Amino acid sequence: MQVFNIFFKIAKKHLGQVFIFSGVFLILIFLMSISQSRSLSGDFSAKKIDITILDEDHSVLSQSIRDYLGSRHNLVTLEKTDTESLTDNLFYQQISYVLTIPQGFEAHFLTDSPLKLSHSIRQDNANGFFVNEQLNSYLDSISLYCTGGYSLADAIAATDQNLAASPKVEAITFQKTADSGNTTMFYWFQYMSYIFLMIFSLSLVPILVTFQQTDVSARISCSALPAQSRTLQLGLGCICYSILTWLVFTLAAVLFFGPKNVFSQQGQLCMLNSFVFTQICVAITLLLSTFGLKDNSLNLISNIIGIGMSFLCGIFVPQWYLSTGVLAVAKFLPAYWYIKIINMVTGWSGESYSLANYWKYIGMQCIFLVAIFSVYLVANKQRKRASLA
Amino acid sequence: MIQIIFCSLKRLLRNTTNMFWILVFPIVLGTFFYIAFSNLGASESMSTIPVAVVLTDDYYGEALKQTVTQLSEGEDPFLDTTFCSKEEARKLLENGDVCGMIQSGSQAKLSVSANTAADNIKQSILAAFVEEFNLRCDLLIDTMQKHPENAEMVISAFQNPHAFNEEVSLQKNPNVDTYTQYFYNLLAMACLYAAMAGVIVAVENQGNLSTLAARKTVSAQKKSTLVIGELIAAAFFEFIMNLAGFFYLAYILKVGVDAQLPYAVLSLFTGVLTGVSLGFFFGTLGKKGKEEKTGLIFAMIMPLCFLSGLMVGNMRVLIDRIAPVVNRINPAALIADSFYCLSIFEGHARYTRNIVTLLLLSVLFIGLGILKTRRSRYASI
Repeated sequence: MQVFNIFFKIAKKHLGQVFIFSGVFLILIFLMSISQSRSLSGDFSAKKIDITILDEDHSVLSQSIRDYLGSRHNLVTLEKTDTESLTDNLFYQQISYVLTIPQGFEAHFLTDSPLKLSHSIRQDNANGFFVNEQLNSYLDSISLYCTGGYSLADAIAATDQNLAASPKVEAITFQKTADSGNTTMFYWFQYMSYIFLMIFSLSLVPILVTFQQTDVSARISCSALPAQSRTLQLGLGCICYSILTWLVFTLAAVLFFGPKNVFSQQGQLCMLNSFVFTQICVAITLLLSTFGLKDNSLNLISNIIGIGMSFLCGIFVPQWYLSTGVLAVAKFLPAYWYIKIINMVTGWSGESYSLANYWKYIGMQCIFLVAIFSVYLVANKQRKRASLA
Repeated sequence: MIQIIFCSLKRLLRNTTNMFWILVFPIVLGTFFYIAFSNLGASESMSTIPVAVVLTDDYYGEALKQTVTQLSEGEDPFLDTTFCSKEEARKLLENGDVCGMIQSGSQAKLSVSANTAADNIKQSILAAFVEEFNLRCDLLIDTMQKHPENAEMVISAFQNPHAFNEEVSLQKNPNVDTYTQYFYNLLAMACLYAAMAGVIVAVENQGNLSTLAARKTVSAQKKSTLVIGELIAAAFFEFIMNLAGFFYLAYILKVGVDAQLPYAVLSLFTGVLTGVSLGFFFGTLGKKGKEEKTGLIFAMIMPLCFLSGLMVGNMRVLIDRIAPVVNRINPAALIADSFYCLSIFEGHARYTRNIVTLLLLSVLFIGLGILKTRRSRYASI
């Protein structure tokens, strides 16, 4: 097992890359765990929007607006409320809606020319539209009650009473897997695909390229070791390396999220999915190794493959945010099917879980695995022919 | 001096690693940002909401039918309505063909799919719509019961709703997408990557760090002339590289980083100058070689970019709340903020403050670097 032993000796030298990307991975997971707000519970909760209200009127009506919006959204009080600070907070998504209630709003509310509230929103999302709808409907109701003969205070009370009596939204749960209850764990599996793409190409390719160097390859060829055994040992090295890496990350997941979560039905489905994807990463690595790339070129290609697949297939940006054109291209990449499984198992994308679809998506990944491996075999044969010529 | 600049430019042109990180990497990353973010605005913006409506055979059913039909008409309707039975509506909801199912009754009721995160805002808008519909029904019933004499006035007021709320834009250009800030940060990162060239200038002028520097040290040329000439060449070369990346983002991807073009180019140049000077100063510290120092400068630039929002979009505002001084001196935040100011604000006060700070940082780094390298004596190399 000379070749197998040397394989791991060289692997040791490239552990730096593995540690760097493991660090990046842990930072990503940490950031996701503090910013994640998804709930997998069956209840519907309407989207809460961060709103800043600048109340210059300080009246009963302005207070009722505050109370109404506060009961449905998050009211954010900013230290500075000058235009520059408000613009910064709006642009960087700290708040989504700025409402200014002008002085004299209540006094002019029931006149023929009422003062208008002014609001500022970002143009690129529907949150502002949503708040506008709610606010207009609320004020419209108060105004109509007043037209119907109610006093302002009674109109506010009647509107609030009707709002409280409005039926709750029913959330229907369609067929779903047994819930693990831990959302961060799915981010773990999601980002693991990017890390594996990078780790394998940056740490495994240099090992394989070393064995392909003309002198090393010639020295091994003229030894007593049969060529078949050499290939087998190298293949075994790759398989052991990939399984070892996958096991380390899976065990780390068990440590972070507990065996109850990782071995739940959802966890097991994700584990199998990640194992298949690991083998795809190895196949890509083998293919890359046939080109005999130097460090700089390898860095370039690995980054393009890793970051490219991450952006196109929904690892960094959720698939439902990507355009249909991008998704059409992504379907020809294995990471798309990997992420599709995670989205289906968690229900994030709205696709109901079905075992048939799960195996279909696993099957798609297996087809990619076979295809990439076949290309590797052909490319490897070509490379050997070229080196002999 | 001119020959020094010329020779340095030739050497920089042959440095493929530098070319990759300064030119190719930002272009590749920018393209992926563009692909990934181009639909984010569209997916978050208001669009027609598909909904299934189940009607009862009474007055409430008729009222709901009239309302949703009105809202489903026109060129860009609010709703895309399918009238169907409850079973069909559930099937549509399960398949994800509709965002919600509305059932009529004395109180209209909305049902949504529990395992849908992607449609939350649309579901919320539907919930707001159903709430408004119920509110109006209740209002009419209340008025009929308590003040029937005013019912006609209320019904007539229904037809002429007041607009209580108007929009006022805070931004100079309201169409600047919030995701554009990732491109500002990408440009900041590319500018700071120019530090690699600065490190090379520093290492190749210290006799104990490279053989080339040892040769230069014994030449007749003054060290300050050598260093300044090479720094000028590095800043010029990196600026041209960055300009190519900038024009790619501005005119091929059209991501809106080119507001007030001359000022934007000035930001780019100042950013590159700060990057080169930072690298030069860093290169003069310690006795490590070119490779180690380049690795370390990368390790230093990435956290700076992280703090300015390259990886997490709202990081800049968070830092502003916790430790605003960091944003005042972090070169990545200053460069990204310069582009942001040009796109968002009318005035140039904040932009000028950013550029002046960057220039001061450049002078400081170059000054410290020169102080560190001047009059070095080597007993043994």
